[in-house]
Amino acid sequence: MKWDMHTALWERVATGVALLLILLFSYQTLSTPQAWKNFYETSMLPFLEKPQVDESKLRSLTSQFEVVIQEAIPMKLSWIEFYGFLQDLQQKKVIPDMNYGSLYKTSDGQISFGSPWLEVEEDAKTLIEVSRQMKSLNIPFLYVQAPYKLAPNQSQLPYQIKEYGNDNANRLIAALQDEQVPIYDLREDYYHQGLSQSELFFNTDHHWTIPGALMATKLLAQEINRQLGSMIDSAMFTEESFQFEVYEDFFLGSLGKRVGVTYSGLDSFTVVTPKFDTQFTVSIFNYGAWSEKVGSFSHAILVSDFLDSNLPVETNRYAAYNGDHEIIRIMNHEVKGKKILMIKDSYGLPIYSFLACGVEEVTALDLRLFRHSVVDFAKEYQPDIVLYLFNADAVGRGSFK
Amino acid sequence: MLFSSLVFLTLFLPFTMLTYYLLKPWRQAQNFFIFLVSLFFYAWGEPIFVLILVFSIFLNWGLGLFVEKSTGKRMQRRVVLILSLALNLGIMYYFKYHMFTLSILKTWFPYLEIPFIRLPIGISFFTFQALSYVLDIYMGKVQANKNPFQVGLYIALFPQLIAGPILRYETIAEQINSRKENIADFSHGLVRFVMGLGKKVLLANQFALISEESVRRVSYGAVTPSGAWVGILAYAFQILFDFSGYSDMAIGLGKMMGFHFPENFDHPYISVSVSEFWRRWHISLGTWFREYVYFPLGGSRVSHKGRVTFNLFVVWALTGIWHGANWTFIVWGIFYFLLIAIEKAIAYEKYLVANGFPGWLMRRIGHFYTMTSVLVGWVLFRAASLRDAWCYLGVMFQQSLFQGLQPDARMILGENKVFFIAAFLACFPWNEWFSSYSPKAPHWFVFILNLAKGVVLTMGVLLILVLSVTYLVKGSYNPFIYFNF
Repeated sequence: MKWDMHTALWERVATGVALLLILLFSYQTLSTPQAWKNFYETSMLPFLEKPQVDESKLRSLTSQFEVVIQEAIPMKLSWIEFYGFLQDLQQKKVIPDMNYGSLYKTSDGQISFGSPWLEVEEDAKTLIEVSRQMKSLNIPFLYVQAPYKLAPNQSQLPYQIKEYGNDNANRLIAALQDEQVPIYDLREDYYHQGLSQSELFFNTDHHWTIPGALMATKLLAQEINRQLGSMIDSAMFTEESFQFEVYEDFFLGSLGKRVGVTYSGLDSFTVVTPKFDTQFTVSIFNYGAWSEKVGSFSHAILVSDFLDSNLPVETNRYAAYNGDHEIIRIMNHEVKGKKILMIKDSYGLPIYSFLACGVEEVTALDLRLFRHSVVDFAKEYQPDIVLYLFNADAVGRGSFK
Repeated sequence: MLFSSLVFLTLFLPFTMLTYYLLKPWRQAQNFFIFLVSLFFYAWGEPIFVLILVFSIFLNWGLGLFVEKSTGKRMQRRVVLILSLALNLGIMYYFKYHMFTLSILKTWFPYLEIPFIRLPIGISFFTFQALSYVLDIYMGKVQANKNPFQVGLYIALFPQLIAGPILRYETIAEQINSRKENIADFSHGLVRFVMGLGKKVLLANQFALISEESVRRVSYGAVTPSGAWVGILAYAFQILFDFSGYSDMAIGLGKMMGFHFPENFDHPYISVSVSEFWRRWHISLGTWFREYVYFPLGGSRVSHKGRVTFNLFVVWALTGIWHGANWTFIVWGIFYFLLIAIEKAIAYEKYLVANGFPGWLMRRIGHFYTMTSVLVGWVLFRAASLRDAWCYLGVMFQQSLFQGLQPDARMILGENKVFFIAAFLACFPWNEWFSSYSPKAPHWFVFILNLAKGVVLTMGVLLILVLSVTYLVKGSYNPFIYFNF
């Protein structure tokens, strides 16, 4: 008697169950009318209205379709959770990732990525040139190096893996210093305020926490005052002047979403709002049109939709601090006299929101969306200072153009 | 469209199979349907270049008829054959090698402009299949097919269109009209497909991330020698499971529709010689070159030993060039030519392996030599340039290699132990070994063994399917190396 008898029979059993699974999956995917309706309206209809034999348009159509499938997959979060469970089961500290190469569980139990070594010369040249042009326009300029989730000279990554985010930033700063570009390296001050790593940064996201950002605003305001004389009342950015509302297990950040709650856990989210009276007009420019909102900090600046507890935890709560817009202008009707132009990435969100409490006007440009000349904008806007505030991870990626 | 994508799994596959079997009473309708979905499958990734595929189909259908009509007219037949070679290879040359040729010529003619020419996915595969059609008619192995859609079906058949196995027309001609679908083939095909999906999604994609990270880290000097070895080992696993996984899926899908494609891989990493490795790796490409290049050149049945070496050189240079327009591939091809020529010259397989003393020791030494050569070969194959390859090899063979496993290597192995163990085990022909094993045990015991095997097989297939979907939903890195060829 041979030991491979009945293989064909078992293959049929396996086939039957596998087919059932595939068909069920197929049926469930097709039974998400909203996703298909969105696809039809946003991708298919515009194409059908102007059909073109254009390779990029056809490719975009198919890739949009694949995105819909990816999104319409039944129980998507459960699949991601199962993925996270598998990583946990393997006790993995390094998770391969499509975007970041790898995600790591740090010694603090946080999820982070490591930055590769990058050439910074081009970024330095850009900043030096912008600084030179601002000088010729008589507008003070300050490059602010926001902290990276992984502190310099610490081995938070497993297996003593070397990452280069802070190295890249150090080389950029050295190149800027050689050309006397005004710099504020926020990193050291930020790490040495006596807060724990999870108080400084989200566990499941790469951003600083909101209380951390408030502290950073205070440090930044002090630095601006040091460099330009008294410009902002930095004393206002204290814990006593703000109220802190903590939502426990409320936020799964962008890194946590990639590995699942089982693996990363959930963050609490602290909403920080001023205790003092505020009145703002917030103007936002996106996709070629302005929109406006008037009211207090909590009404005009904070986007409370993102804090709805009925929304799933993977909602980007951080965007409550008025997310990534091409241009956002915040006018403070309670303070007179100073204007700040901030060029920023996503680290800038809570900073400009808080900073706006201390000056008459803050305008922030997001270089990922703003495609015009910053210098021309500043020339017309005539701010009292131009701040470039970027996370160390942005260094070496041509982020300043 | 990728086999290892949710759109294929959730929509394309169920729709195609259901419609195919609904058309079962009408073979021609079935064939026409598969032809159409094959074009759609290709157009999903190449919405414009699908026209080249259609052109190639009609061109070779016409050339095939021409060759057959020229029977008895030797000169005319030759002219048509040369025309066929020129047109097929000309299209392939333009898309694949023209930029490379211009970049070489630019050394002497600096004013030359090099236009960017995008490579249509799988052009080398469908060109070789199309050529095989005309060549088989020319050699009198088959008759020309008068139905262009059936020629189209052979050239564009979606399971193997993009990355093989490369079919020769003579092996498939009969199946186009007289294949027989049955439940046994269907279920074996589906199981094979799921196995291939698992190889691709659960192994190849994970190793792709490791190997790419290694190459990146070498570029800024952050890899130790042992880390570089582990990195290239990861690439060796990636390319094996990527390509053999794709072949498994192709063969499985073919079988679900009653087609029987030839095997493309036969556990190549257990080889004890480089010659054996190439008998087990990308078998359909080796067979193609053997049938249409090596044998017509005289093969090894020539009077001069020098001529055999020359014939080998031609085949290996072409094998290298077939894989891509880069010096790395040419050097990679010549690297294998040298190893195989030396093995032939010293009759390595015949004396050292078959009759070696002691046999097991020689096999271990042979295996070590083969795998070291293969890994060095993958460095050449993987690198973007010869300089990069040299740099990577430089790290691999640094003196500190003998200091044991360094932190980066320990990290990669530690973190991915499950994948490395699974990949290592998947390199062996367990099924073959078990199938030939007849235990001398009571019937009831063997019956229980079979039952256990059946349960493991069923649960294994389902587990692989669920795990693959999990990784696909997570959106893991999903490149197919051989799509570029």
